[in-house]
Amino acid sequence: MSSSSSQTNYITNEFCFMIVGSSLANMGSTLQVSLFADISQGPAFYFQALDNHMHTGLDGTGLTLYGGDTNGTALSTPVTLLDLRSRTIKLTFNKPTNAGNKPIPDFNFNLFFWADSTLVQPGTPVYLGLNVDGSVECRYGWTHGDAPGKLQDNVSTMLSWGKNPQ
Amino acid sequence: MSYFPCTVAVAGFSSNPEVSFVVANKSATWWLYADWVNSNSGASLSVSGGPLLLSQLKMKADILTFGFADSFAASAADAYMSPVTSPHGGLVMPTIFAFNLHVCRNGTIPLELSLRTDAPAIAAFTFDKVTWYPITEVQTQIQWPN
Repeated sequence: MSSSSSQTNYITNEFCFMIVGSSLANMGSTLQVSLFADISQGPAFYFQALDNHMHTGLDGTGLTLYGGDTNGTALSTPVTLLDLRSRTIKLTFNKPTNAGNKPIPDFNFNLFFWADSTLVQPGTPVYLGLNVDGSVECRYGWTHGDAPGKLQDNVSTMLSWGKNPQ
Repeated sequence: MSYFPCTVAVAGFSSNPEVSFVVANKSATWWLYADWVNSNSGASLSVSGGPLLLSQLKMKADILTFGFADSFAASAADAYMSPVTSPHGGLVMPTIFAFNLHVCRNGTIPLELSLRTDAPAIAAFTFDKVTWYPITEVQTQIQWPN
C-alpha cells in the first residue's frame, strides 16, 4: 500500500522487518537490534505506527509484532525492549522459548515508513541502517508480512522506496 | 491538534493475558499515536517493565493490544504487586508493565478508554505517572492534562 497527499506532503508505505527464525537458534541470552534511517546517504524518512497521518487510521493497519504467520501468533522470541523513535528503532529479544525440535518462527515487525513526498517517490533510494550484536539474518519488504530483501549487518542497505528487490 | 505523552500499564495478573486498551472514538476525536511528529523529546513508543516479556503487540489508532510470554506467566503474580491507592486518592501502579505512547486530541471531547482482557488484570492510564486512572471493562472517562 502506498499513498500520498498534496495537503500533507508525505508519502507512506508499509514496511516489514523480519528476523529469520532459524538464525536465532544460536543467539545468546539476549539479542539487541537497532534499525535507523541513515540520512547521511539519502533522504530522510521516518518510522511510524500508523498508515495515515491522523484522522483516518481507525480502520487501517498499524504497528504489529508477531511470530510466524500474519495471524499474529505469539512470539517465540519475546521482546524485552521496544523503543520506536522517528529515525531509530531499538529492540531487545530474549532467547527463544520454543522447546524441543520445533522450528523457531520468523519474527516479524510490521510498521510504516514516511517521507516528504517532494524528496521521496516510489523507487527513490533510501538507506536503512542495521546494527545487531549477534549473527542473525534480517530481511525487509515493502508489504506487511513479506520480507524478500536481505539487510546487511552493521552497515546501511540501500532500499528502493516501495519496491522489493528482484 | 494536541498531543500528549501517556502511559498505559497492567499489573496484578496471574496468567498471561492478552490485554487491549480501546479508545472510544466515534467522532475520531482521540486516537493513539506513535509517530515522529511529537517524538522530538523522546521515544514515540516504548515498552518497559520488569521481567515480563512481550509476546505480541498490535497497535492501531483506536486499540492497543499486547500479550505476554508464557514463560513468565507463572511468576507474574508474585513479581508484580497490585496497585494501591495513594493518600491523595490516586491509583498507584508500583510495579508495572508500562507502555509509553501518545494520544492525540482534536476537539474537546474527553478521552474514554476501556480494557479488554481474557484474564483478570489490573490496568491503568496516566498522563504524568502521578495520577493513574484505573481502566476497566467499563468505559472510563479521563481528564486531559492542561
